[in-house]
Amino acid sequence: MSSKKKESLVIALLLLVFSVILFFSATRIPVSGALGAGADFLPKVGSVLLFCCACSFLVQFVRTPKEEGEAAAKAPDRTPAVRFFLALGLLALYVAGLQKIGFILMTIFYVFCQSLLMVPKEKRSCLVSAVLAVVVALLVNGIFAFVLKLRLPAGLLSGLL
Amino acid sequence: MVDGILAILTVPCLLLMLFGTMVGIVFGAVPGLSATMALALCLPISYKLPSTLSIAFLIALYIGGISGGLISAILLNIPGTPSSVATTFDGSPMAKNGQAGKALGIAMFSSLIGTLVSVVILMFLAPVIARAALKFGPYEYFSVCFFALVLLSVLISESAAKGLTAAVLGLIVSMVGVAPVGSAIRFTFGVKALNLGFQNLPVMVGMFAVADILANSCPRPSLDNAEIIQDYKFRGLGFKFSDLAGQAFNYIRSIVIGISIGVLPGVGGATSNVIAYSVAKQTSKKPEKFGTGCVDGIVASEASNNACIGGAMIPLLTLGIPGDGPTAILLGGLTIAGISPGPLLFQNNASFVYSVYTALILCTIMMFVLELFGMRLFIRILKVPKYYLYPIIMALCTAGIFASNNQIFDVWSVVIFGVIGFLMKRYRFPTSPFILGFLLGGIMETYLIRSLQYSKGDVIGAFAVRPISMFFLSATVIAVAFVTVSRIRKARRQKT
Repeated sequence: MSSKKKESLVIALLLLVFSVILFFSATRIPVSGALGAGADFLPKVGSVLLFCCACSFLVQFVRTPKEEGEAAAKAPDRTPAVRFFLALGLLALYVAGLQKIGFILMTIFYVFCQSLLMVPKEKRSCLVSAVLAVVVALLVNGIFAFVLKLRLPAGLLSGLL
Repeated sequence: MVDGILAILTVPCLLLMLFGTMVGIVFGAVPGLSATMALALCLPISYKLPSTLSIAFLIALYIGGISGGLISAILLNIPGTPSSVATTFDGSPMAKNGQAGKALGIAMFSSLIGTLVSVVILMFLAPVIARAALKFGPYEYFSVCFFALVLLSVLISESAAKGLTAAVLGLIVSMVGVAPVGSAIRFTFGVKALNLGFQNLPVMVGMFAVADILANSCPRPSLDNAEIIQDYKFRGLGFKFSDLAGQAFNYIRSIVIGISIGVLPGVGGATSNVIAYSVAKQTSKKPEKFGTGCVDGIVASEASNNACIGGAMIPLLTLGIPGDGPTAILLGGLTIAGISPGPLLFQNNASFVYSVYTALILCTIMMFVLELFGMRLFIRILKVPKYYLYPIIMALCTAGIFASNNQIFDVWSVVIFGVIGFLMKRYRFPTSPFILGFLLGGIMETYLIRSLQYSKGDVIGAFAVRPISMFFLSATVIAVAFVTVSRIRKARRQKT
């Protein structure tokens, strides 16, 4: 099966499943009073619309001719999954540590690591990334704390800040 | 009238407006900050000022904030406000083609024209337009939102199915939390932080900024596209007036759309730029050039979203009804200053009204001048390689989003929607219908349910007898049919 046909099928199946789950979740929404349409109305409508969208992708799957599908398969779009999960992991760590470790320290960590992840080998410099990370973290925190008077999490540096 | 104008033309007032416009532009331009935040932070400053100065200052922040969104929309592909979403469609591609100066210049000029024309119309026609706005009931509001959402979904991408799916998904996400009618808690799965639903800014920042960061992290780093080659040497406004040849009708149409939609509270900001863009694309002889860095797209989006400023001031001044977050804070400022907006404002406090008009015009000119002089500095941002720029943007966004509500959940939302935005781009689903569906979902649900309640079961009949709602619903059907037939014909031509 070609990639384009496979894509339509996967999207259709995911949307079908999601729409069914959504519909059954919508039936469990408490509806109060006798006002006619209530809080469950639009979720049910949304799930039906999503079901219709899923059907349209199924139709696309059936109608996509093999030749067109094979032509599409000649140009694969491969996303390096490892790099994606690394970037996502960095983001998740950044947010997870924001309150306990603090904005300044986590921003230094994140900017340093993210820039190293994205910098080409020829330009990679731990010193530049480290200096940038420290400057950005302190500058952003300083602007928010002292200019805008908006506190960001101090975390481990709460005694100092 | 003269007293009102002279009250603004004092040195302290002019300096305060200049400062306010500058601050507003910064807040509008920096991802993670917003015009609403600028107004909220500076509102206490206005307590100590005389009423005219305080309102002039808040208006300066408002105009700067709304207009500043175009800078991040064009340079970073992150809309600073919902009203800048459509500016990213052509502004960002034009900047990526090395013409950031031209994109910024056209956008700023269009903002200037849009705001000035709408303010002039506000001055002469505010009470008339306010009376017309009162004819909009729940049927009409729902129809306008439905029209905007469907039009964008169908036009924005080659696959109408993907566009409509994205819009429906956005609507579904907007339903998380407390229902607008009935107050039932929906789809929170026991997570208390979800009771209030997702906030606008984290969703937009996630879908644009974080999705971009994830997408740019995936390929192996190379020097090829780390920096966009820009033309940093440009004169004057960054564009030639010949670039705007043939745009006169686009300007007029977009400004009319901006004022008409901007008058509708809650709906104007997010929808006007999208409707204007979609109409410009649909009526263009070369619709395929939209999305590639087309002048028409930038003109339509910026002229209409800034025309909304004059439109939003109409219900605010004549009826005391704020249109969105920033105008709600403006209303607060008016109340603190002892001014009661409403029909009697024009009779009892005419000099104050003329002060407001003067402030609007002067702040618009200041906004244009400041952005013009700052343009060369702004586009230097693009000199920073992406591999350093993106982490900096993420740090700023995190700080801004956390600071606005002090909720770590909002920052998690940014990551979640970043993943959603990445997956949508990966599988070629357009993100703007998702965002518009999310922004309008609550309003659409409220007005649809009210319509159902008022109609007592005869929904179709109720919509059909109301000319304004019929106009928008018919326009939706015609637009969808037109686009579908055009695409079928195009596909058949390609096959032969």
